[in-house]
Amino acid sequence: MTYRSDSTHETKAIAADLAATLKGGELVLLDGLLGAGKTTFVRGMTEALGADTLARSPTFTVMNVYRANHPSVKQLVHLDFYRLTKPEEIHELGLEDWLGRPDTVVVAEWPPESLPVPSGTPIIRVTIEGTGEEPREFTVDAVTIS
Amino acid sequence: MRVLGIETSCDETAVALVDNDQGALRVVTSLVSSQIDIHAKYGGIVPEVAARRHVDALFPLLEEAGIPHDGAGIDAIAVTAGPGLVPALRVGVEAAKALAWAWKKPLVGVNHLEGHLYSAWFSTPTPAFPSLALLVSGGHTELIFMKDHGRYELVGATRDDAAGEAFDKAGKLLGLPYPGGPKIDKLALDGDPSAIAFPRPMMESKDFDFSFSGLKTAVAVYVKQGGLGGQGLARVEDICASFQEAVVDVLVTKTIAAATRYRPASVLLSGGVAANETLRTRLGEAVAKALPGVTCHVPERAYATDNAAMIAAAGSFRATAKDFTDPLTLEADPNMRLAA
Repeated sequence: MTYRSDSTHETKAIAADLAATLKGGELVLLDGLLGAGKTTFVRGMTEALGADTLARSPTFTVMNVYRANHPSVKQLVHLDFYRLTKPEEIHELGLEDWLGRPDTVVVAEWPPESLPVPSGTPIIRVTIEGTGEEPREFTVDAVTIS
Repeated sequence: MRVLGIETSCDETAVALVDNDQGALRVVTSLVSSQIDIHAKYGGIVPEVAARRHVDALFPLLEEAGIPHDGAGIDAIAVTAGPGLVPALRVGVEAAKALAWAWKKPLVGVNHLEGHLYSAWFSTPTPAFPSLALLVSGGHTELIFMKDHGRYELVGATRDDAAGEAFDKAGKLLGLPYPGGPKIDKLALDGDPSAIAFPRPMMESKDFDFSFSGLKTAVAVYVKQGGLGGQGLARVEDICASFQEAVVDVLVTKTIAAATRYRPASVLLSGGVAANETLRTRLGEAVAKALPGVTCHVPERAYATDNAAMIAAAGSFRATAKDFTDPLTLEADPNMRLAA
């Protein structure tokens, strides 16, 4: 499915619609160039999930965990692999504690080729086209690895 | 009081020994792993986000720092308990707990951000309370009102990107090698800060929050469109100077606005971006002009970027107040807050 956004507000609305379909245990992969609106998208998700804190860019912190206020999702783990260049770095993050956990949604910006995802984890890939003052086009695809 | 400081909250592994003599601090030793080629085989100075690196670096650093194996002469251990990455934080926290237990010395779990604020205490004169601190790094941009040791109020923060991150990403957009911040700082010295009027997001807002992601977008648009109105790109020195001017303008203006409201006795600059030459100078000038009688404290560069001396310093003041942490129950807290 593709969606168009001409503003931050619309980006967040698309994200809120996606958040409404989540139950917990999902991994959301966000692809897009610098300034495409990845963190803005996550903000839309966390607001829809009733998070207690504002979603900020995890570029330097690498992992932010936001507590959610939702029937089945207890936290949203917001990852940013922008600074991570080596496989060892990815595997040292303790992601096994979060990926596939039924009460957690994990969202990753700049996702690497492989993440230690348990089989059967619902994966949703969101690709954002456009940057700067261009309109954005969001493509949302659901993938489940068996 | 002599305090051993340990810091492993994210990229850097650091240890330090700091003496606190009734509030006067002296750094006995301060070591940071990225500056020491302990493991030549890992190569390079690009910090890695890997708990393994902390595990490998911590004990060699303690040796290098000359920490006595029996803890002789050390009165307390201060360790960064958060915020940061749990697997990284845990290396320092668990090592500190073990040392505190083995040496039977008291332990203080320190907030990494609080550590940054204390970098001001390594220069004299030390700040008078209350202080208004601008904390700017790759991961954080906040204005904090420090009423006294250990008493903080959050005045404002970034709503999206930290200022340090804005520098890093602008650097990438301009094709500069890592690290973007220091590179821009250097190139900007030869550039014209008024060459391009980059936006100053949230400059006029009545609150004391910040936003830098719009500025990142402005640089991206500028580069992509080949300059203003397609006129062609300005010299990279001019782009750097103009971008930096926008960031510094916002940071300084909002700090002065917050100080005008909160009326501190001193203004502190802290965090990795406190190493930026233009920010250091401009803040000092603005405080002198707009806030007569208020002192401005800019940290030595070595204590602005991540280090353990600042952690030991913060820990020493907590130890003075007997604000210790139970070594049996201290846990790494990725979301540790400075203030409510």
